[in-house]
Amino acid sequence: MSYAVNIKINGYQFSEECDENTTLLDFIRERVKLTGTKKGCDNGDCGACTVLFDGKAVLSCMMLAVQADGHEVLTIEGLTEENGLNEIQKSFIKAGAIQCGYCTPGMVMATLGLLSENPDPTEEEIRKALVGHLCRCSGYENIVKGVKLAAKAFSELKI
Amino acid sequence: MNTFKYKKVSTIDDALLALSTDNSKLIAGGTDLLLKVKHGMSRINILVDISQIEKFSYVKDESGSIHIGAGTKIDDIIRSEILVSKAPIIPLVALEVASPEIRNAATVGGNVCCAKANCGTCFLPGCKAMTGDRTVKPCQNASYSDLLLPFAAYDAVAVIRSSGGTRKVQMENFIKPDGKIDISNKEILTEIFFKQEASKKAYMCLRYPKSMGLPYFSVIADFKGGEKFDLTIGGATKSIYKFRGVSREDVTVSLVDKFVFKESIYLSKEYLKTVAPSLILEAMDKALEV
Repeated sequence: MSYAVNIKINGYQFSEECDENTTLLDFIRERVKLTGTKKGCDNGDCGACTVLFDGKAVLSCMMLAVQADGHEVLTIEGLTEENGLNEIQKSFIKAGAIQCGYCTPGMVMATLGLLSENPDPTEEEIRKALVGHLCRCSGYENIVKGVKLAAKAFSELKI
Repeated sequence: MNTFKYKKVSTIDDALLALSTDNSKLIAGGTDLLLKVKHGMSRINILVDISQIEKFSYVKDESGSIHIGAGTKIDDIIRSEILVSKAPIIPLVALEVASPEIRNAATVGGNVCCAKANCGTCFLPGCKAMTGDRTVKPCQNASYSDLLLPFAAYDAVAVIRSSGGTRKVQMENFIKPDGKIDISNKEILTEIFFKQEASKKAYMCLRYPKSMGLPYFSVIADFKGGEKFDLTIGGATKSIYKFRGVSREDVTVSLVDKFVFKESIYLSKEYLKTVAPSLILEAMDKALEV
């Protein structure tokens, strides 16, 4: 059975018919064609599919698109600013926090969720915030450094 | 994923009406249920979405009692000033539930009602929860939900509604002797409440893996004065156990023999029995310092 779903993604309203068992992740990737959000485990374990849902980091593989009807979603593509990459993305590059890059969109979105609530996190707080994210290249040290750099950049820019 | 009908409701009455259809299931955060649906462990006729029910999400302090709406997100429990100041063990335990992404979506009611959640932690050969093989029981590795224990420790009461009316169940009795929870498919947990009282409680948990792991053995010690403690114990156990008026001298093998541990992949029953007294005594010591 098809359901009409209206979701505001990255500031744009998307109205699509979709099946009841379509996950938000599949809606974003296959209907809206925003493939920056990654499908990793599809099981709620790896964090690669993290998006902001009404401003909070959630796993889009563990939510149905019909549940997101009438809500607002921010994906990695929505972070791009007029003059290029977002400060978190720049900080990850500067810190060498990207290896294969598959986990990066989820890590970046989780970092945005963290910094929007805690602009000056300690290393322990960063590690706890990213606990649900797997990096199979094992680049965790540089990812933590990237988050610290992003926090510093945000505070300097007073974002 | 299997197909099903989907219905979003805005009132509890509408939800109860939808539940009258056979094989209807509630979804709020969905972080546990969707995993089961994806792995073919839950077959659903109608999925009733209760996430948009108004006044289903709250933490209130009313005339000496703290009331928590079943639709309250676990993250909101952690941030609730009322709970942090008046029942601090609840947000402390809530902070250990899964990851921030899960806590932002999952609800208190979902956590409590998915009492024996899929663990999803091992993916080892033979992990029955993940095979989708409906001829076997769910994974033995599953522990009881994290929040059942603190609610039982605070002598909380679950308010459960059905088309026939409202009933109340003490959280320590929410897990029945057969290991199942005391709520049917036609009922909705609407609220959990408990009387606010000055207490000296401390929490200890053996969790594995340390992050995003399962609570294999959890204890909340509540110092009652006169060297006596109330103990609430759970984890990879057959039930939630509550012992009142326990002294340090009572923490012996015979006390531990009263808990029935379940088989688990990472930690053996024997290991859990060995470490349990130390954790209980440590919780007692911490309670004295509160």
